[in-house]
Amino acid sequence: VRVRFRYSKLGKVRWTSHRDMARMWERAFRRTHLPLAYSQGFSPRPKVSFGLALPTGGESLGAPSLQHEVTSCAWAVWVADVEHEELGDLASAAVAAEELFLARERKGHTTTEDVRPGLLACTVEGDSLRCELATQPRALRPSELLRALRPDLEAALIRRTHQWIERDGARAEPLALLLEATGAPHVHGRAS
Amino acid sequence: MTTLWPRIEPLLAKVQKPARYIGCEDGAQAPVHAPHKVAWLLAYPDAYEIGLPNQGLQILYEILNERADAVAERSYAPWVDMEALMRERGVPLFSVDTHRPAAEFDLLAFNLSAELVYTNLVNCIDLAGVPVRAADRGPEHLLVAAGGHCAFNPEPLADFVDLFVIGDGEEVVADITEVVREWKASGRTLGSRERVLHELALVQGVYVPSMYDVSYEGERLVAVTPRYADVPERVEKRTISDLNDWPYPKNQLVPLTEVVHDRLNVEIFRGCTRGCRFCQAGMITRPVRERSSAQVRTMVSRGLERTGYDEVSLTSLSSADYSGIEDVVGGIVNDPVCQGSVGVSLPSLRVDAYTVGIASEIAKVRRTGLTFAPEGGTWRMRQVINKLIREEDLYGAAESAFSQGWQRMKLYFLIGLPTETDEDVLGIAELARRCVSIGREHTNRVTVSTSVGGFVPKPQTPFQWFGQDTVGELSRKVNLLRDAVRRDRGVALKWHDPRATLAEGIASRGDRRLGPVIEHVWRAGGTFQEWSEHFDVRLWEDAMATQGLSTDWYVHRHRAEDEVLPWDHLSAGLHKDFLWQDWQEALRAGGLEDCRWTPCYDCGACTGFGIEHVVAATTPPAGGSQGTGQDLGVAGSSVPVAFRSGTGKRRQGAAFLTQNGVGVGA
Repeated sequence: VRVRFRYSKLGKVRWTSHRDMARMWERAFRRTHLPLAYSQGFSPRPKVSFGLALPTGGESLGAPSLQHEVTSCAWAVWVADVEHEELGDLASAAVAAEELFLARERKGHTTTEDVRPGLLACTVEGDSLRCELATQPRALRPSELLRALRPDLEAALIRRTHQWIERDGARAEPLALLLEATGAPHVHGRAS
Repeated sequence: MTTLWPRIEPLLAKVQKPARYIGCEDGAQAPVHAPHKVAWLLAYPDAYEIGLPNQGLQILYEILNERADAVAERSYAPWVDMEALMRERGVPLFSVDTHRPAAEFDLLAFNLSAELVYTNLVNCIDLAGVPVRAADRGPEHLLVAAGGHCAFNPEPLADFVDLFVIGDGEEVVADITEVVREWKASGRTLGSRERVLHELALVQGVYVPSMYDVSYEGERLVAVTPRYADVPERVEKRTISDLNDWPYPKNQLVPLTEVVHDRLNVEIFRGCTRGCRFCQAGMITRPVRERSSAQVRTMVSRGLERTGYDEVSLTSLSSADYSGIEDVVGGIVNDPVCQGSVGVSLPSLRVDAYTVGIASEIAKVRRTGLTFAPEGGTWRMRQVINKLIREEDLYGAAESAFSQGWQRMKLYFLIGLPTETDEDVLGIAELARRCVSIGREHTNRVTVSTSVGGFVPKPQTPFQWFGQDTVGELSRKVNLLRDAVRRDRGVALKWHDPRATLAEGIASRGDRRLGPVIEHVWRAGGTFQEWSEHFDVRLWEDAMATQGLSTDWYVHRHRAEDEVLPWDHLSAGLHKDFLWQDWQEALRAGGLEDCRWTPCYDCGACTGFGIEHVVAATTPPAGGSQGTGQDLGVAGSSVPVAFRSGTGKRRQGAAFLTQNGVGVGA
């Protein structure tokens, strides 16, 4: 049986890494005596897979383990040292831009790429930017978006609010889709 | 509640491993501070991932937080990137539990397990916003305390630390809390600091350097004398008589991020009487006090259930010596609750085939590494250091391991030992090579990883009089070994940097004149000195030269019998003449059997405190004393062994020394 979990990562624990989360879940499963499938070999590990890695320091609402199917993520981004009025300008400049060039490193090489296609939406809500960023072909991170907009911008807090899957041209939340298919009850737990 | 979190969090995006600073471990506490409660900040002067697992700190954390009149939080040395940001933004040292500034605590108490962290200790005091020199502190400043193995020669840190705890901390923290509580209640008036320190100096196991005058004649230390009549001339260590009274930690901290020894740890006994002459831990933690197997089982099963760990380490100085170790290990491995998935690790394995038998029982679940420490390359050398392992024992262990499917084993050795010749050094290569050829009979992929460390003589051991090898001599010996194993592909030789060994040697047996040296290294930026990427021997050499101190005199010189040693006024219970006789015996290459199962040598550790060895069985473990069952033909008077029966019969409370009205509860 394969079980899917959806969890949030909020508060101080956002400073733990993706790998830290994996270890936490392993211990949590053992504490609850959930019978897990183990890999074979000298050092058997439980068979658990995780969703899209969240940058260390980022918060997350509803992280499921469907790495390959997620096509975009919605983020709330609180920008450091930026006045409220300035936020609106940033959002409109981002959406208005035809190209957004960014130097990124990959396998030791630095390439300059246009990341504008990865920006699907950007608005202001309250005191944060709300943006939807593509995860395919290469995921655009909120910190990268800020850097592309203005090199001195830094995030004070980022929170991943949704992960989206495209099904038949429409956007849907992955676990909701699954739940519809299986009729399983809705589970929403806090990891912190 | 004062929290620095809003000022700390913005720094975290800019540092490596931010989870070092968040706390939030399973088992972490958020104690409520109050004017009538003594606030302890328990600090480990090294990186979080090294300090978090420290069991000593966790034990005191729980004991103090259980008290109605104390609270305890934790702090670790911020890594260099975090420290730079903290200094830039004026963020002081903080606790990871409630992110409270260090200055709001009454005590900043360090755990000292290695000499090379001394500069980190000074750095943490400075980051706390407290004057680094004890003499510059006033009633508005917290008290700086330190304990742990290095406290058995506290003199190099005497300038910086207000009080040291010598020996087991479980009971003495209560006595200290009571004294400090009164001080706090009295409003810490002007001049009260001297009074509270005086009172603390009267607590058994507490050493307050400022209560003692030190006199020198030229280079020579002449005397360390108390400044008040009621302050003891010699500070005796504290020893808990029964480990079963202290089943701590009850809620071991489970970190959210990666740390060393990331598993459940259960201490199965404290103390060791194998009598390895280089081993400070074995000398200062006597006598042996075993935890009952029933309590071990309970702590293991409760701990696994609570933490979700799938590995438990049964800790001690020589875990295979625990009475009934097979039953305990078998019980865990075969326990249905553990679903056959819990690994067991035994640090400090004895070298013999019997031990490998235990390891293969464990390997039914998970095959862990096999590490043995013969320490010396020849039988003669091992008799000098009293690590009585015969070649047959090691080869038997190797045969047993490789025939049961292991492909790797690790061997630990020391070089620079007393009376060592090149033949002894080359013996290391010979042992490693023979282990490889034994392994080749079973598998083609044998690796015998051979680690060689330079020996640093430690205070309160029979080798405290020995002059340490120079960097040049240690390097020459390392090169001898490199040449000797160059063509043996199965032997993977690793060695410790001889320059780090020198720096350790400076701090290990130093006196109070080392204070300015440590301060100099710290001011020159020398923190995290036990990390090879930060260690810089030139800082230490410069500091010694600046202070006009001779490295030869402090490190490489043999001491004389009548010399006053800087730690003579601190007692681990061992008679100085016992240590001297054992040193002379070492020079004659004479071995000494484990006194747990042989007559007493009157080292002083038991009789001086009116306590005894507590073992769960009166018969030596399989393999015999020292693991070899050799008759060394040494005799003495009868041994004070208390036998703990399986029915949980309690040993009678021993008569404890009391000093100045401070009772030491039995």
